[in-house]
Formats: sequence, C-alpha cells, structure tokens
Amino acid sequence: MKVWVLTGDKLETAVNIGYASKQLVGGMDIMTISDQATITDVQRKLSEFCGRIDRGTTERHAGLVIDGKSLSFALDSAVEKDFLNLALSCKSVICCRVSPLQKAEVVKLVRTNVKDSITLAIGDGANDVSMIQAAHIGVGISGREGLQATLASDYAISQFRFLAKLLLVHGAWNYRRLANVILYSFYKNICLYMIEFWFAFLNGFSGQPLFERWTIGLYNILFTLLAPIVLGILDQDVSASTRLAQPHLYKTSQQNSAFNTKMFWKWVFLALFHSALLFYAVYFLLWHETPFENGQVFGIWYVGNTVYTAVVVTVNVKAAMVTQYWTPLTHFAIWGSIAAWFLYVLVYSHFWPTFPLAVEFVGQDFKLFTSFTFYGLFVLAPAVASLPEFMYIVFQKTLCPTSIDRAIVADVEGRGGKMIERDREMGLSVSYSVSSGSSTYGDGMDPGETERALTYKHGYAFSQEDHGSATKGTFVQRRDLVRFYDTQKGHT
Amino acid sequence: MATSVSGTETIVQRRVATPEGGSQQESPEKTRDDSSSTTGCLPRRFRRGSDRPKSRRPPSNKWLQQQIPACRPVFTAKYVFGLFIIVGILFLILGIVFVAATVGLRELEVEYTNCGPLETDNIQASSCEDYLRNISDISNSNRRNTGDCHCTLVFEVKDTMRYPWKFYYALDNYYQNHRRYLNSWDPAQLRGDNFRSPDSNCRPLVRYRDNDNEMNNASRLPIVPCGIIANSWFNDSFHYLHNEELNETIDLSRNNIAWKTDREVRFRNDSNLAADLEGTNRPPNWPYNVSEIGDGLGNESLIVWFRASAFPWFRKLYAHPRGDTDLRPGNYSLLITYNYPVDNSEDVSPSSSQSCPG
Repeated sequence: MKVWVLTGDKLETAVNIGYASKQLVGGMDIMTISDQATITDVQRKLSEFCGRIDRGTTERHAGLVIDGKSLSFALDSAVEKDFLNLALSCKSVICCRVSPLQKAEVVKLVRTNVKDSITLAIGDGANDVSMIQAAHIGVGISGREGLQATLASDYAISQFRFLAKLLLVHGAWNYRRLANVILYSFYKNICLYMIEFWFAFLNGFSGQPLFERWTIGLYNILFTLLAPIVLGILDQDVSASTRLAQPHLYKTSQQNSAFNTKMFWKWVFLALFHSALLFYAVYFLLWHETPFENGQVFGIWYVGNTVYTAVVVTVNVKAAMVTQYWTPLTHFAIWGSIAAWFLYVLVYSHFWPTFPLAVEFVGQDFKLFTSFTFYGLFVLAPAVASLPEFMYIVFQKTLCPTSIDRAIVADVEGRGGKMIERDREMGLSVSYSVSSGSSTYGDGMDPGETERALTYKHGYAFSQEDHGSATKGTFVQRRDLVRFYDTQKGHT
Repeated sequence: MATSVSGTETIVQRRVATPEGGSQQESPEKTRDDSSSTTGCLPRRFRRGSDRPKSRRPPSNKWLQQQIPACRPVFTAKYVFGLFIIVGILFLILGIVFVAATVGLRELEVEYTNCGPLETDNIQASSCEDYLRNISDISNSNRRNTGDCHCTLVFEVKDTMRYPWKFYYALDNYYQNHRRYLNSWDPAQLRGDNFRSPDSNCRPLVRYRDNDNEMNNASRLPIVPCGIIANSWFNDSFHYLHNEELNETIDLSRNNIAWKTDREVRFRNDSNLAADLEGTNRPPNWPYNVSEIGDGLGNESLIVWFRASAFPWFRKLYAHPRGDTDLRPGNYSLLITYNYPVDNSEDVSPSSSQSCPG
C-alpha cells in the first residue's frame, strides 16, 4: 500500500508534514523536483533520479517531492510514464502546490497505468472533490472546511485518523462479508434446484417438481433468508482490535482471496455435490417407498418434503460453518430458519380445504413427524453432506493455517493485539517480492518501519528565526526540530 | 492507551484507534464544533451549562459499534476433537438402532405379469395379459369386462413372516410421477364439492359419453372422478392365499390401508353419492359408477391409488391379512383376478414390516 501526499501547501510545509507523518524519515534520499522551467528540465531530473534508483537506492530509502509547476510538465503524455515509474519506485511521494485538477490527474495516472491497482483518495475540502471522484474509492472528511468533500465521496468519515479503521477493519470485513453473501446465495439456490434436475431422470423428464410449488417459492423468502443477511451484516472473522494491531492481515483482501474464480467454482461444485447427495440419499432410503409402521405407503409429496428438509438443514449448516462470529441473532437466524420449516409444515398441512391451496400437504405433518426414518434422515443427511467439507476445514486450519486463521485463534485465546513475530516477518518478506498472484500494486504496510527514525521526543515550537536560538553550543535548525516530532507515538 | 474489549487485552501501538467500548469510555476526541467560536476561548469544562455546545457525537452502542457479545468458533484440531468424539458416538448409536430395527425385515416379491394357469374355462389365451390385449383390439368401447380372467399364482415362502405382515402390489416402469399425470385430477370433486364442472386439469378426461362418435362436447356428461389418475385405477383383485400342506387359507382385509387424513379430509364417503351423481358419467375405463363401489369416493383402494408415487416403480398397500397369522414357509397359491393390462411388470409382494421399517 503506497501513500502519496497531494497538498496545496508550499514545499517546505509539505516536507515538514511529510516528516511529521512519517512519510519521510531521516536517512532517506529525498529527491526533489521543484521550480523546473521547461519540460526538458523535468525530463533531465527524472532520468537523474531514475539513475539513482537503478544504482541501488532501495525503495525504503527513496522519497520524491515534486511541486505543482514541475508536476504539470511531468504529467505531460511524453513524460508521464517516466514520472510514474520513478514515483512507484519511491516509498512515498509528496506533491506540493498542486491544483485540484492536477490532483485528479495524478490519481488517474496511477489508476490507468498501474495494472490491477485500487486507488483511494481522501480529502476534506472542495479542492479535493475532483481527486475523490477520480479515484476508485473516495473518502471525504467532514468538518472543518464544510461538507463538499463528503458529498462527493463514497465514504465519509469525521476525522482523518478513522481512515485506518475504515480500511483495515471495515474494508476487510465488508470484503469477506460480501464475498460470503454472494457465494452463499449461489450455493443455496443451486443446491435446491439441481435436485429437480436429478429428479428429472426419474419422472420421464416431464418437468414435474419434487416439491409443492409454494414450498419452492418460500425457500428464498422464509427458510434461507436470514442466513445470508446475518452473514452479510454481523460476521467478523478477526476482531477489530487485532486487525488494527496487525495490518498485514489486510493483504488477504488485497489479493482477492475470498472472491475469485476458483472460490466460485468451489462453491458451485459443493452445491452440486450436496444436491446430488441429498437427493440420492433419500432416494436410496425410500425407493421402495418402504412404508410406515402400519404398512401404509407414502407418495411423491412425502419424499419431496423429506428431501426439502434435508436441503434446508444442510444449507443452514453450511452457513453455520462459514460464520465466524456467533451473535444471538446469528443463532436465531440459522436455527430459527430450520425451526421455521417445521412450523411451516405444521401449519401448511391444515390449509386445505379452508383455503384452496396445498391439497398435497394434507396429512404431511402427521406422517413426517411420526416417522423415524424422517428424523433419522433429518439428522444424518446434512451431517454426511457437511462432513467432507468440515474435515477439509479442520485439516486446513490445523496443518496449514493462513495468517487470518492464526489471527482468529489468537483472538480467541486473547492475545490478538500483540504482534506475532512470525507473522510480522512473513508480512515483511512478502511485501518486497513481486508476487504474481498479487492483484493490487504495492506491498503491505511495514509494521516495523520505525527503526530508521530518530528517536528524539521533543516538543516543538515554530519560530520566525530560521537558525534557532543564538546561544552558545549547539543549535538545532527549525526544520530538524520539526522532523523529530513523531505523530505516531503517543505523547508522554 | 490500552483498551479492553470483552476480555481481550490489546496493546494498541498507534493512536489511531477509535474509541472502543462504546459509550462506556470517555473519549479524548475533540468534537470540532464550529459554534464554539462564539462562546470564546474558555475551555469546555469551564463553560456554564447553557453555553456548553451540544455534542455532535453520533449515537454509539454495542450494536452500532459491532461489538455484540458473540462467540467465535475455532476449527483447529484440538478444539474440534471433542466434538468429533461425541458426534461419532451418537451416530454410532443411531446406526446400531437403525440396524437392529431392520434386521428382522423380510420381503418377498413375486412377478405375476404372465401368471398362469388360467382358472377360467372359456378363455383361450396363454395368459390374462394376452386376453386383455385382444379384447381391447376387438371392441370399440374402452370398457373392459371385469372379472373375466382369473389366474393362480404359485410361489414359495422361505422364511416366516411374522405378523403383522402386509400385502402389496408393485408396478414397475409406471410413471405416476409424470407432470401431466399428477396434475390430472380434481381434488374438489373427490371431496364431493364439484361434480358438475370438473377442473380443466383433467383434460382430456373431463366429459365423456359412451359410444361417442360425434365431437359434440355439449352432449357429453362430466366425469366423476375426472382425470387420468382416476381412470387408470388399478383394478386387479387378489382373493386369498392358500397353503396346501398346512391346509390354510389366508383372507385379505382391505381396511385401513389408506392414510387417515386422506380418508377423513380429502375423500368423501357418504351414502348420498348415487343421487348426487345424476347427470355425470364414470371414467372411460371403469365398468361401474363410483357409487357402486364400496364406500364410494372413500374407497380405500382408490385413495391409496391417488397417493401417487415419487418413482417409476412403486408399491401400494393392497391389504392386511385377516386374522393374526404369520406367513409360514411353504408353497402358496394366490387367486388373482387379472383386469389391469400392463406392458410392463406387475409384482405382488407380501412383506413384513415392524416398528422401524427401513
């Protein structure tokens, strides 16, 4: 994740802000392009700095500062690619004296030229509106300068520091939630309606459904409605405090790990497997219509209801396996949906002939609920269907857990906030390799980037004098004083 | 600044954490309040009550901060192990119960499609099946004569079937679950409400007149009960089982073979049926009116037939044995009145069933 600063302030202020916010640190090679008169000057400067990078300045030690006038040359179509390459090789870029249009142009430059990049622009004033709208994600800060930025943005926050939580916590959570909701919705519908497909082989392909028509219609409205809602609103994989303390966990959502083609086909295949298993399990158990205790046979609607029960339970159990955060509402949603089906059978079996509906259901409640086979199937079929996947999950989380899995375990065991050394190293080592699977440009945040900063903890004061106090002995230049101030450590 | 959230100790290294714990914790954030400029530079805590600017802090509680108390499941082996053991034991018990309940079940299936020898003297055919086929070729009417062709089926029972055992007939390759078949009935008619205007689902078996050569719909009478399901009612009869060696005859009782709810709710069974059936006709394949069969529309055999099967091979309960006898091993002969022509197979199967048939 790269952070660039685009400000309308003058160069010195911008650089001071850069030091204060740890974009620039002492020991970095600050490459400055300012007050360039022509485009060739800018080109020359760019190639000079690119040479420096090629000769060995690493990314962590390179910072670029460019002002608005030079930027207007640098954004020229002849030069912009070089400028972009240089900028992307630096740890941070500070653009000062930038006009609102140039802000938008810089964002568009990155957006169009960096493959698979996601850009976020955050600002609080009217001059940031074009930038906010040009980026993939626009965040507006409400308050000091009014509400123009928030009105144009996708997300509005009230203070800049909330951006971290917005990204690391809510961004990651919502990515996972959305992926789960979409995949689950496909899964549950495929699971039910493929059963009609398997049944078609047995009914002469005549198009006869196995279930009564209103039962089918209410599947998405009554019996499997609450599960995706709860998955999408309440589910949290890693707690907020752990996600903030371990920013490298954000990498999984950058890498499309929860929603990609492979995941989609995995869920679809699971749906097909479940539908086939549930239908054929009931089929083999009931194929001779092995009757009840008193010898009476059952018909198509009894078989259909048995299969439907198995499907509703299996699909809700699948939601239960996906959920990582069990609130009372989640319990109600998942177990309540199953209970709703039983209630439905109970009530719907008595509709006819009072209402001209559901003649097929008359007597189903009695026959289903007094049948040992039914209860056996109700417990066994979902268990057998869920077992392979459950085993896979257990093996995967025990033998090769991802960083998210480890963080979840750490959360549960109460040690989520502390940095886990191994993960930190992994986070660092991944960040500097250009991995082909990565779909967003850039590395993750470095958790331990503090070591090169100076450790002075002074208060600061701005004075008009540039040379500090004229006492004997050492004096510290104003700009050095400012740079010693570290906004990321707490005051003492 | 350490915050504690539901027991988790977290060391927050950066000051960017938003206030957690909702309304319980005093937040150090300053509300940027533009109205404060009018009240001067006095710090907030010194201002009088009426001057104190209203807080613009949005509401915050456990729900809005997404900190509802919850439990997180962990799927690693050490947490899941206990669950596996418990579930495994439970299912083992369930399995044992299932097996124990079904170990005593016995089933005997005997095919009688081409049963012979024929018991009827004046029929010259190799089997009742051939006879029926020839008849429908000859006559114009769809009406079949019933009771013409009897045959005896001899079969051997190897193991005792303990009482209670049941007598079923089975049909193979018979698609009662075909969509058009299943839709072809009128439930209101079966309940007794709608004799004169059968549901159009029953097409084409809605109206019928015998020896009808005209396409005159108005002269046709409505059919009770309409539809294909009724028209294809299974009408073979099985009379008794006779064992020569033990000199035993087992009669079959045709009561209590249909669902109780069907008998009481879905099918009408009253004696006024004949009068109400004035101006209606019987289904083409039926030799008699529905008022002429026992219990009218509540005939249990008819009700059992209407409970359509899910698969193209099925059994339907025909009868219980009269009396308490077991079916002992030996050779049995079964007298069948063969009325139902099929191109596929018909079976007869006595089978025992106990409390947990499976």
